Amino acid sequence: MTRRETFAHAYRWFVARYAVADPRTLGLARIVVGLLLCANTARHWSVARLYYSNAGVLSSAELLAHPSSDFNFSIFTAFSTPAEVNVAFACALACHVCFTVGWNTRVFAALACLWVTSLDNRLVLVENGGYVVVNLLVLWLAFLPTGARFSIDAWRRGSRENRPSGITELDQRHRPEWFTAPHRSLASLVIVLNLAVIYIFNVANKYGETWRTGATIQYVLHLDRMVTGLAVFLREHMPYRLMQGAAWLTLLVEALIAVAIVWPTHRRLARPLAIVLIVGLHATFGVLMRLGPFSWFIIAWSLLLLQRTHWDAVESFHRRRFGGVTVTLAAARPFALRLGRVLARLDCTDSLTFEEGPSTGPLLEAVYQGQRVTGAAAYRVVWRALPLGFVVAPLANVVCLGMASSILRCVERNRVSIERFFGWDRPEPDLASDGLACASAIARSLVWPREGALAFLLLCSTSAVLHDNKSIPAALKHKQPKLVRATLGYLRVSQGWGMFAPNPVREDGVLAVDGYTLDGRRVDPFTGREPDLNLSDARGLGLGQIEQDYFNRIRLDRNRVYRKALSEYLQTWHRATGRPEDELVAFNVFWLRDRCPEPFAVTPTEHEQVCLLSWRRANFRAKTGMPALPPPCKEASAEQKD
Amino acid sequence: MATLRWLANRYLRIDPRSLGLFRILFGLVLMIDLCQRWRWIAAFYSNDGVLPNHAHLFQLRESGRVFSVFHAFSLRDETFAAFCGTLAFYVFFTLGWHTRVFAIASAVALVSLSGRNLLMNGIGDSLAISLLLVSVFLPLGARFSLDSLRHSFRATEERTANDLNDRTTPSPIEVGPSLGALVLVLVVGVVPLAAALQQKGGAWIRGDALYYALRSDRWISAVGELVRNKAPIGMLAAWSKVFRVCEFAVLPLLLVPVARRVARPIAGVALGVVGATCAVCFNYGPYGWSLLAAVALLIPEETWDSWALRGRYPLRVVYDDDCGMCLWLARLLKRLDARGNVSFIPNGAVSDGLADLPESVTVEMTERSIVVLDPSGRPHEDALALSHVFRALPCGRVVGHAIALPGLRHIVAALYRRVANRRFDISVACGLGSCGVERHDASAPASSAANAGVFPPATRIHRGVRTALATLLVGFVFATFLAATDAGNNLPIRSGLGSKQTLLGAASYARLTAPWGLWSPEPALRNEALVTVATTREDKELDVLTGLPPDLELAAPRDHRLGALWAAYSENIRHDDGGKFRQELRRYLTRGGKIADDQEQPTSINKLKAFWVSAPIAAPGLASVGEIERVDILDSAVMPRAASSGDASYGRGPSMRHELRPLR
Repeated sequence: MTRRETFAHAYRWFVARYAVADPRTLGLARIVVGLLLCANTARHWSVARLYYSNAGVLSSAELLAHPSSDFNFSIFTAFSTPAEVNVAFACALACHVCFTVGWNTRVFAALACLWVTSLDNRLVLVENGGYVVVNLLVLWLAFLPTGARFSIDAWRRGSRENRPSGITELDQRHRPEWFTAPHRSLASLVIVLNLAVIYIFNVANKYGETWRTGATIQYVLHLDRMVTGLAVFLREHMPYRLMQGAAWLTLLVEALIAVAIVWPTHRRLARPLAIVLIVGLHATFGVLMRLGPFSWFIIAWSLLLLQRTHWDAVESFHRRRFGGVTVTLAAARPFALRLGRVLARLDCTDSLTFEEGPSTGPLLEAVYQGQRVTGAAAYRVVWRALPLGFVVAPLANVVCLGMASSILRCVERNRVSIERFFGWDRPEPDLASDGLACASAIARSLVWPREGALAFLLLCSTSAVLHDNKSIPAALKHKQPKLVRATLGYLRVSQGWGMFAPNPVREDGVLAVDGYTLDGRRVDPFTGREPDLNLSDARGLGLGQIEQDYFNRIRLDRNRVYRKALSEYLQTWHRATGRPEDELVAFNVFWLRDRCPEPFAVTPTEHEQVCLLSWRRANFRAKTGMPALPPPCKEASAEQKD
Repeated sequence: MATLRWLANRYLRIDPRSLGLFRILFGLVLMIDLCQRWRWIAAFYSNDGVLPNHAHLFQLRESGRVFSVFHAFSLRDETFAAFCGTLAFYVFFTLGWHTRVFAIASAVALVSLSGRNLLMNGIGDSLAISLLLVSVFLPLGARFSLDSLRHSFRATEERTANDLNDRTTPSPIEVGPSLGALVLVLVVGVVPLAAALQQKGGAWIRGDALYYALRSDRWISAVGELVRNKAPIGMLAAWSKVFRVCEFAVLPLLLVPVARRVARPIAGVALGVVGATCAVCFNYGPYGWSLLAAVALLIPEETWDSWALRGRYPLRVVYDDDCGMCLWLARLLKRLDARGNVSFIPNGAVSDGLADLPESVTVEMTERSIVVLDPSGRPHEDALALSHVFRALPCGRVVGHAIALPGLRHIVAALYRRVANRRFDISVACGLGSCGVERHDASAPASSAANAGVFPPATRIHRGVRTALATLLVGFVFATFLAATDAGNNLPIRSGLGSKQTLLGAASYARLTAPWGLWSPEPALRNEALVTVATTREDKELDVLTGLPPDLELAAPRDHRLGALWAAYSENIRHDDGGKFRQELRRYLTRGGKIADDQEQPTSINKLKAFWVSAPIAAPGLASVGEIERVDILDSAVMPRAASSGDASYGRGPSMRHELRPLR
């Protein structure tokens, strides 16, 4: 074998293992990521007024005057008032819905990328690793043909290319190359490689003392600003030794995931193992801590590890379990033909076979396990044979308010009227041609620019990996060129992976506002209740990710510049509540902090109040009978101690 | 019913060809407007300019109701990217590719360009936005567009020469009556009428209006200056009167229900006079050019039909029916050949001896190249064949003759041969098939998606709902236009919508300020300009807006022709309303203004003043000029007073750190 042949062989080996993606995997990933994007957008929308509008803690004018970095772009800054911000979120949500259902997938994948990076850039104060994961995942998916399966695009394209004109033709399934062939591109490699990098550095960066001694879980579970009620229950009932084991197990699992992702052989087992471990690990994180999108998007990312062989196995199982259904459709009935076409297109596991029935008979009958079933039962059998039909059929029954059988009977009775209503009784036009006929040629010509852009992004990501990770030796650190910094900055795709690394934070803290209203009440505008300035007795603060990260970042000295906007928000808080008596005449903003309990201990220590901001309304005189305002507190630095 | 149909045919329909032509012309207007803005991209659209985005948004915090995507772009490079995106929208809109999508995108872009700095809004922006917003609801892509071409290709797939020669296929994009058509025509007519109704000043009565208008250096173009210097006063007086009559005449002529063959062309001429005057002699942004583009809307169906019958140039084209690309090009040619000049003959028919062709046309010839038989029956190959094909197409005569010119003919022939030799490879690459494109039975009709007859109820309901929705929306746009016209003009007739806050809010968001009162009640009787006097470290004085010595006497008209954006901006900044924006202007000017990028050697500004210089215009026939006034509106040594509440944080940001810095 010549050197060239060896190289070609190695290249083919590598590509076959790492640079191909099954269209079904991509389609599934699109749906799951799309749904998560919708949920994530809705989550941010629910706090849009407070965090993303001019009526909140950081107006777009303030952000633009003090951008968080040299390369900061957010389309959300064009939307200022709460109403405008609502429009922006509605647009973002609509875009994500279109991406999820796979309508003009390429366009909406690119737009989804714009919206998620914009959302991140609009309030970098609340960014965490989860946001970066979202940005990266959506970016890489934008380069992949995620609309080739399980999408409206695929449906439309399939319908354009093939339309059986008779029931007997329904068994000849249209499976063109774009529908079945694995997609080979740099993006397929990068998206898997990046997932492995996340775990490799999540292990490598955790070289701290706390991880070695296994005290991490103890500290993390006592971060009241982050934990959920379940975590509080666990920390109160879980023995320390078990926590120690859990910490070491976490490291082990992360290392195993990284190995399983890149393992070149036995991928039929290694990849599902990685998926199971990722789902297990991150579902645990997700239910114990409020980390925002991190856990759920990583789980979605792991679905991209599914390979052709897994899909084939699933399809084969489905065929064996639910297949073997013969569908009898009324001959010469346009309605029946159209129903058959829909079923044939949905039946991607080849579980159905079709045959012609009498034209005067029912629209649809089924033969299953040798028995002929009719009416609603026939539809149920057919639905069950379709992918996820066993889920959809009961759901459809619920949607129809339990009247599915009656509706089907009604449709059967009125099928002629329905055919006339939709014009199905008329001759169908021929299949449309490709229009200008050069679309496929243009698409082919765009492959190299696409791969070039990916190569550049891969280069930028490599630079970020070397630059952002603590475990990388100093000799490999380098000064990033401006173009690379701009790319990474605008897209918000850093590659520093190290959750609670090298050591977890041991300091818990929360922002508390001690506000004095016009009518003499004390109130914390963030909770709407009387301020609680004691953190030590907290059993979880119940804060959302956005709140807790905003609180945690606004206290930092480098974000002092944004405190003026916070002050302005507090001064006009009564406009948000709509009650003039809520107007604040004075407030102190504190960072309350304490130190998480040491191993075997249960009580936090070193409780402290650090004054971040203090304001008194000029010339305010308290009414008689009202307590006098306390003197303003002295502002101090609340930087982390360790 | 018949009356309604008669009225609908007169007022609710615009010929799709007129709409297509309007789209192309208006798209070009938008592109030219963008190019003019591009010149001042740093000054007006970036944070290095006269108004950083954060400062503008801060000023808008109380008033609100302004939206601009350009507020999200801070740096010059970012703004450059945004301009490239906008240009792409305009190009796709002009080409008619996904026309409605890009009409909406273009409207958003234009509104955003206008909303980025309220001080530079002008009459042109408002008119262009109005036209674009209404156009969104019209089938602008029904003709002369890539969309129509694509629809036509999909609807009818010709496979044989018989299919190609069948010219009975109807247009695939159906254009029905629409309220948008009436609204678009009304907008075109109302704007000049609103101007005419407000032009009540003495200059208009005396006929001096254009005389004075042409002496306002900021607003005139190079042609305007030429006209000012060369045209006799009598001619300008006549022109002024004709101009105003034309402004009055457009709307009534457009609404005349009878004698439309006469009324419409006259309305077109009147609109053309108004548009051409404003476009050629003045610089009001896209105002004049938009009116000129709108003339296309007034071309009636009969005129189009009569044009289609003109220019008969019958050709016979022998194409290679084995080659997918050739068939595709023949299909394209059929669609471009609106006059039906071209008939097609497959080269298979030549080899089979079925075609009635001169003996000089051999089989080898038809396999080597396209062969065109001109009206006299003489065969042509290669470049000359292409030349004749172009001559047979609408608007192709010039190109056709150009291709036949010596030199160019040889280049085209060489290129043609290169393509022709690779036509089968290209066909395969484009997925068009080659070496025996499936031959079809000549008697089989071409496939057509067009279902003749009545539509099924579902389609009718779908169309009805869509039309109703579009009618509602276009009605809302027109009501917004009327409300803005009421609020922004002093008209004797009012729609009564000017007090509706919802409509005014929508108008504000759409930047539909409707300042239709051009030169009303009369043009300015003084020539005015913003002049800056910067003193450099070398004690040199220069105007940082032009890079030239300050012209405090307004002696050099060319120095003050900075374009529509600067003209509108300087007009607004000198008024008290613009006072709160002066701090940012001061910062821009002290950084070096326009010349900051042009200077090769670094220089520094020690002192800067800006004056509003105003010189009276001598009355027609008089030479004497009164005293020049100079109002000091900026002084780098004096900080402007705080303009509004919350000014403590106004204009903070990185750029605030540099008050006076070296010029590059």
